[in-house]
Amino acid sequence: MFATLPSQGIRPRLFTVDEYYRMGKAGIFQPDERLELIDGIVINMPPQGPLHAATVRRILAYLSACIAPEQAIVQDDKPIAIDDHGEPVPDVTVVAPDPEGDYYSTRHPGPEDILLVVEVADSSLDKDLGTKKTMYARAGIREYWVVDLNSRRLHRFGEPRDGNFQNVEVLDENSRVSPVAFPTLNIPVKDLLTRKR
Amino acid sequence: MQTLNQQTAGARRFNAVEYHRMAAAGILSEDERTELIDGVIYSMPPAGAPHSGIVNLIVKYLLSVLNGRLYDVRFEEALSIDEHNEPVPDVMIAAPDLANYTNVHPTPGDVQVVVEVADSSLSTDLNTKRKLYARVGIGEYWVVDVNARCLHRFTQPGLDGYGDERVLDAIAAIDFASTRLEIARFFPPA
Repeated sequence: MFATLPSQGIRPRLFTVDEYYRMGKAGIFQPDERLELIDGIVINMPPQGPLHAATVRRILAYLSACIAPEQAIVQDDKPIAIDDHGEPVPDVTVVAPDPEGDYYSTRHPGPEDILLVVEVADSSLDKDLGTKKTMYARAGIREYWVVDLNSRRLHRFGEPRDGNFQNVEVLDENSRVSPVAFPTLNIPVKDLLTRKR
Repeated sequence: MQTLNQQTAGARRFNAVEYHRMAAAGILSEDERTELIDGVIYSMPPAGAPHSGIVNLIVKYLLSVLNGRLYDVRFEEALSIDEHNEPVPDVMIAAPDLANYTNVHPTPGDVQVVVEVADSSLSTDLNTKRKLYARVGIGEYWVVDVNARCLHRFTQPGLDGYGDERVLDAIAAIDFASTRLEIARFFPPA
């Protein structure tokens, strides 16, 4: 990951997850700050508009209704442990039940636990399809969806290998989608989107 | 390949207080070389031999000609600019401080000239840092281009940048503080 920048000049000091937590303990962050650590950089999460929030709520409700708690946990706005330099907070994550049976009370879910990551994109589309996609592919996240609010489409990425998703699909709102981890689900893309206006 | 701007887009900016708190908490280690530019903490690249050698030549030369003229020549030391900026210029010509800046870092008002020696860092030095130094009123900014053996001399700082830029090759000389500085002395013999 350090090879993403040319080796010239100054480059941002990249922080590890451990250093990120030490910053929190040292009182560097305010309690109400919404942050994530992406590739070693502490990122401000932009404020959520109602459309973004409603879409997250809708996806959370939809997936929670069709996935039984003993199959997986469907969560929104929770950190996941990507690697030494990454602790993003996806909009929705579907994770396998905690192997220790305690809702991941001792660590955040990692790539091996994660069945699906969903980001809802309005202004963040470039980042979701750029930095974040690269990070999730490199970490071996099995399936990644980007719900594009503006074009009302679902970008679906799967089969991470060699730092890239080998399987890439763009689905419009008339399509249906089946998550790899839940092949019996057949979800209309429009059910993941707010009403058309 | 990501550019610097893409990588730091949306980054949580740190202020100088938070930056120093990180050092105090040991998150930034004592021997780490970092700079705070526009709220982003940068790692300074390990200094290669040409860079270090030329910084040393410039410091010795400036000390020899400016010594006793009420100028302090400092190198690899922090410059306290504002809430989100604390770069570490390669060389600074500053007003002397009674306590030799043991209490506070110099601020832009103390500094006549900032010198950056650029080998791999030329584009950062000519862009991000040039804008920063102009905006905060550093009177003169010199970028020593190691590869091209020339000096970019920026003067007349303003909010929009430096009003004047001269590119001087190694046979030129500049008038500074009633002294004539020979640019050839900034470089090892060709």
